[in-house]
Amino acid sequence: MMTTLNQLFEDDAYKLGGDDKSAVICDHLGLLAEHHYAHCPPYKAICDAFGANTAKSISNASEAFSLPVRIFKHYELKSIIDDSNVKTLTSSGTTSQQVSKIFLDKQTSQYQTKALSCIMRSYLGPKRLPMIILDSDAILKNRQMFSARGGGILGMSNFGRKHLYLFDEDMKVKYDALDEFLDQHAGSPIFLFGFTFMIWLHLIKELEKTGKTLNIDSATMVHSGGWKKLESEKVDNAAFRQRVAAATGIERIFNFYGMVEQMGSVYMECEQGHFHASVFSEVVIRDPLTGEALGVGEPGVIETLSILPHSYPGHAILTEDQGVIHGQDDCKCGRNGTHFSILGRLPKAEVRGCSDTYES
Amino acid sequence: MNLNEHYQVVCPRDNAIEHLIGSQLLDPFSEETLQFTSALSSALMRDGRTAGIPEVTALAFWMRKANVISMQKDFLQPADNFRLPRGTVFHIAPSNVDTIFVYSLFLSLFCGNRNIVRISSTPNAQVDAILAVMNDIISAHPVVAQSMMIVRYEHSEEVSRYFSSLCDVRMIWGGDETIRRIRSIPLPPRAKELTFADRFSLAVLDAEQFLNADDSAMQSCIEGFYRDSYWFDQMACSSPRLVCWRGGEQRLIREAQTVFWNRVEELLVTEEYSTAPALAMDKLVAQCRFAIEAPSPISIEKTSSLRLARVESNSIPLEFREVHCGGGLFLEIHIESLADLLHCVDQKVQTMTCFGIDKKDVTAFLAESKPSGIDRVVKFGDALNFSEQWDGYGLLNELTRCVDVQVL
Repeated sequence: MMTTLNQLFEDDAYKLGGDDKSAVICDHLGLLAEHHYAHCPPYKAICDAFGANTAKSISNASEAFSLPVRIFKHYELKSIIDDSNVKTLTSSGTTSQQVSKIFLDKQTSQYQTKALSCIMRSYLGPKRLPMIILDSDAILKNRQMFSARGGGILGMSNFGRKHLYLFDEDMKVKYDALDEFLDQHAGSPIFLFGFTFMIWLHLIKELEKTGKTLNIDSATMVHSGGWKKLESEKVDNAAFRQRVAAATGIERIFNFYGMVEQMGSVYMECEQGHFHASVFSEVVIRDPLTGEALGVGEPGVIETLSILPHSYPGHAILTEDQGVIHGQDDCKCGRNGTHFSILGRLPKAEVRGCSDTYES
Repeated sequence: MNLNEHYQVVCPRDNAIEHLIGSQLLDPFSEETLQFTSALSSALMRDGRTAGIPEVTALAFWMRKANVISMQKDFLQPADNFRLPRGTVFHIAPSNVDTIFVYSLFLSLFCGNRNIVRISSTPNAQVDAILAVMNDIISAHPVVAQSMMIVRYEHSEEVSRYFSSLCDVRMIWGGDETIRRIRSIPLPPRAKELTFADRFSLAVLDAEQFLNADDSAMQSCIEGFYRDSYWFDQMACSSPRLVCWRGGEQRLIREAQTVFWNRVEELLVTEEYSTAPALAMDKLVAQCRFAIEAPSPISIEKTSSLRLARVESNSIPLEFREVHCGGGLFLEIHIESLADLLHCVDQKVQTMTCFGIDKKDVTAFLAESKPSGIDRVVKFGDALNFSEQWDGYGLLNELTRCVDVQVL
């Protein structure tokens, strides 16, 4: 009997390991492949062209047929039977003009919310904590067509209560509101969430510039959103943690890896600094040239697998990020599943030829 | 307004626009030009900064004395008219086929013209090396030095407008977008313009001829294909993107394809051709896009690595060429005869490289089907060989003026 998603939502997101976990992932991936083949014509066209047999069951996550992530920027891929209540999520698209468009129906949204909740329990405990959102509520204005940033914030808001949006419309820290919030919740653990670069730019640099420090102890900060801009300022994960701790007193800081194409099944960073696949996801590292699945310690392109997406074919995605797997079910943090590190984006290819270059 | 500060003269460094414009026109294939050409050819071959770079070697080989003399012979004018240089030629070179500016400059020098050559302001090691070698020897050739000026400037309409106002011929190498932009800048009434727009190329093989070829012929076919396709990561206009298999029997075509691509893959390994992971990803995305957009199902053939990516179809619309990312992505079709090519040949097709296809088949196809494209038909391996005949132009003719002398 196949374990259902609803059964998985009830349990610890990192309990299953080994063959048990593999069986869950493979069963669900097999069903999803068949489902999308039947309901998403572009997905079917790609599978047919590559000769991928979606009806065949798989015994290892690396056998799943994946789509390159950029295809979501070119086409609107969806497997939606009931058109009502469909939300469109777009990537923020700050660095490239084209944005990914992801279609979420009610069912898939619910799966994402429940899976995320299951994952976050492992980091925040069972109770909803007073929550500081390191962003401005202005970002949530348009509900029909919200960006990844808005979607991420709304998704995470479920895990806190008494939300404080720390920044005003001009992204300035609301110090008075913060003092009041901290007084009110003195002694209680606090949950903070925001996007890495926003935290860096509007909180940490601001505090460092003005010489102020906050004293938010017994807090957990979760952040996400890519390192590209921070890399240009020569700030890596370790430096980020250290400077956040110095400016705010927060020691428990967790990054997570997730993208708009696969919300819900995020890969959280653990106390050891490794990203973890939960019971809802798996990660495979591939050789970018041969597509071959690589083993522990071998760096390559990250493929993300998720058993949540029913309304769009995002269950197996070949990303443009590089990573390396450290092991399976053996992380010192005690969580099961594959644990890995991210090694940055694929470097851009140098273009040659007679094409247009007069701009240069 | 003084525009001198808006561009940088890079070769010869001491030339200036006033001197260039005032300089004497040279005779076509003047002795001075031939000497400079030959000296530069040997310097490029010998000099440590340029020796061994395949594209530069090809350039130096094209510039060697014997080839220039044969070009001169082909250009001999009939006794009843007379060829003179047109005057000043303004060349706008593409920034990423590094040697084009030299070909363009020398063809015009052979004709006796004065030359302003705009090259990209983006630093480029290969271009810089060629310029350094040229600058080392140019002072020994003062007559030629006076009639050329290579300049660098960031995209500036003002500077382009200024040079355009001084020229008799404007040659624009580059993509459609560049041509559109430069075309909006007026030319003097008597001046003419040659444009080299975005082009695409294809390869045609006869399946049976290929299978019957002996090992060395087969190997040179594969090596030629590799050179044509992979030297500029398949981004040169003359590099094939479409591979057409001619044959009646499906079985033979399949067999030829298997042998051909296996050997191409072997060669990619021996040549250590490396595909950047990002480019491999681009190819994968392009394959998916073809799959989605093709009007009838396509088949993506398995290869051992993304150094080579294949897409087989008989219904790939022409506009699919624009999706192409280069780096070794080939569309394949089957044809029974060259006439079947007509639906995939439009104005944008430049070079057809052939293996196992007779000249008489080619000329019969051209005469009967009158395709709107195809300006060159060459054998495998020659796609990138630059020639005086390019994009349908006879460049030596275009860069000279014919004086009709009827007196006795």
